[in-house]
Amino acid sequence: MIKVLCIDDEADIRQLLVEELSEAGLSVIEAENGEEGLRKIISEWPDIVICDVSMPVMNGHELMAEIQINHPEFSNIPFIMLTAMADRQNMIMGLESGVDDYITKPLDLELLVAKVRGCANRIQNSRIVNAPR
Amino acid sequence: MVLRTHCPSAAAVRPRARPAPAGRAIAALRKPATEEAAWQLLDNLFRCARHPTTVKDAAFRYIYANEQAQRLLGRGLTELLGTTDYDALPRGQADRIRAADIQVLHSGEEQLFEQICAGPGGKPITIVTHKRRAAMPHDDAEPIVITEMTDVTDLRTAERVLREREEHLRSLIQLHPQTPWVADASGQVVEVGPGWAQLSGRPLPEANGTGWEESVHPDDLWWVRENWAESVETGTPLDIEFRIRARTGDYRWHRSRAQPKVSEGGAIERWYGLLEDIHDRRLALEAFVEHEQSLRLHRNELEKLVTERTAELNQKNIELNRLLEHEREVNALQRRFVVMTSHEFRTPLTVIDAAAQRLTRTTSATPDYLTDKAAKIREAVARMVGVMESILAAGRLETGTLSITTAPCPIRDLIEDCAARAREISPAHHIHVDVARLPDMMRLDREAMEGVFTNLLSNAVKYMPQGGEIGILADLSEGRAAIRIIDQGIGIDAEDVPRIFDPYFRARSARGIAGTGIGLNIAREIVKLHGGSIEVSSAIGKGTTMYVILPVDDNSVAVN
Repeated sequence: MIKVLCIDDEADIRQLLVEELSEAGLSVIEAENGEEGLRKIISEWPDIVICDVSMPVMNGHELMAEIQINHPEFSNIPFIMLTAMADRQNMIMGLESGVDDYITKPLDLELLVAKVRGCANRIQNSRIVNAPR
Repeated sequence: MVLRTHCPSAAAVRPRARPAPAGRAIAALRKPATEEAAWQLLDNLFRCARHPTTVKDAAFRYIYANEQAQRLLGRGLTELLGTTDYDALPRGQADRIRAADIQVLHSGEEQLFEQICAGPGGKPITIVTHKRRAAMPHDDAEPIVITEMTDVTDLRTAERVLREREEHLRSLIQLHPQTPWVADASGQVVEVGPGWAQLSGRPLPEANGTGWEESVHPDDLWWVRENWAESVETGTPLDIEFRIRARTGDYRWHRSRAQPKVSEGGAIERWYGLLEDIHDRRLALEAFVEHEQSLRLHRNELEKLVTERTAELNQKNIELNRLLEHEREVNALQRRFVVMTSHEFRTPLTVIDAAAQRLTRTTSATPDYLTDKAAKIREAVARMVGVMESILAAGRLETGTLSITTAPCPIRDLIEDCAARAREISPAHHIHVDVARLPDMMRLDREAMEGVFTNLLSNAVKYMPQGGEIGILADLSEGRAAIRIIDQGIGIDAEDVPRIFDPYFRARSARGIAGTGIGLNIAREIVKLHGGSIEVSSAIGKGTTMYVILPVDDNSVAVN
């Protein structure tokens, strides 16, 4: 089962994401900021990360940089950013530094689920291909 | 008949020519025994005389001429004797001499005249001729004419040269624009040039002595006198400028200079001075000086103007910079506002939108599920209304329409209530309240001050995300209540501390934490309206203490 980590400081949004993604047949874990998210990435090794940009303690971009620099073993995990600030420049910088996709708030849940499922399918397919025969 | 009677030397000649008493002369001449001896004596006497002397008989023939006369007439004695003037001189000259001889012979009057005649070598010479009648010293006593001639050519030439020189100098003086004057050793003017009469309109002699002072301007006279007296006393040359009343009655500036003429013994003999009309020059100089002064004045004015204009420009520049700075601040404010609103509205909007999507997408919507989603939506709406209220309050701040209405208010209860609500919202934070030192009642706008304390407490909670201890302590001193809200949260960068009360400002340490940046701005304004102030001290990573300082009037304290 594909495991998705949802990182957002807003508990209500986290709860809605968990509901939606669980219903889509994914295993969902939560974190309320970047720092907690990093701990969960290391301990839980999720397949996909959905992460808010603006958060206390450690924000989405800081988490991304932290993974790239200090935890490169996780840098292949698909990383979808949620942002309330549709700042084009920030998005370009994020994409260049390894963010796979941006989804702006308010969220189109259908679109989000489609993206996550697409990723999940690719991951599952590659696992089949790479599985020892 | 007298040819030329004008003779300046006549007076000098006459006494010498006066004849000796006849008796004695004759007695002297009687001594010689013979006529020959008498002539010899006479000849010797005449030889000793300085002047050419001749004797003619009644027929005007030369009967004697001394050596000087022979030289003057250019003929020896033997050539002369027995001849008349007509034999040797041009007719005109001979006529004039004869006429004089006849006059002397007939009237017996001495003749003294001056004539110019051709001398030896043809050069014109001036001769003063003195003719006298005498009688021959023998029996018939025939009358004779004795002529004594004096060559005054050199004298007359010298006199002419002197006269010419004098006239030359006089012309020079008269033509000279300056007026010469002469004073004696005591300083008394003895002579002034003719220019004086011209300039002063007063007769020349009136200038003598101290008469010239009459024409000096009364204001100048005292120091003119002083200077002149000093020069006279010390012998230092005089050089002064003063005004002299002209003929027209106007005063004109003059310069008077004088040098002493000193004798060989060193004593001052007299003073020679020159008076010069310098009026026009002086006026021109004064005009020039005035002009220059006015130029300088103009230049100073100009410089002043330039300085003023520069200052004005600088002022304008400062004003412009201030406006630019203000513009920048407004722009920054706007940016902060846009960032804040986009975040603070999007987050609840996201909740509302996602909840609505969930409601339509879920396949198993229980009544509890519906209630839960409706509650989420309502919470989010309430949050958005809260943000909107903040923005409206900020708007009221900007337009200056924020006002308070104070009434006696139980301050301790107010704070306790706020703390209780905060505890309810955030059980992870422990809020300790010690406000016993505050009076029972203080004059406050209760609603507004509740807003202030709620805001400060919610900040303490919000910026201490991991939970922890929060203290509310109060002190009373010098008529002021100081209420401290102390947290151990993330703190504020020192650089940001002075700006945290600016509208829409969010400290860097607050990044990622929801907030409008309006709360503290409004809180400060409300406290200000109460006559108090809010202060802050903070250390990054250690926590923040907010101080609310409110005035406490005597009545409130008395209640306590």
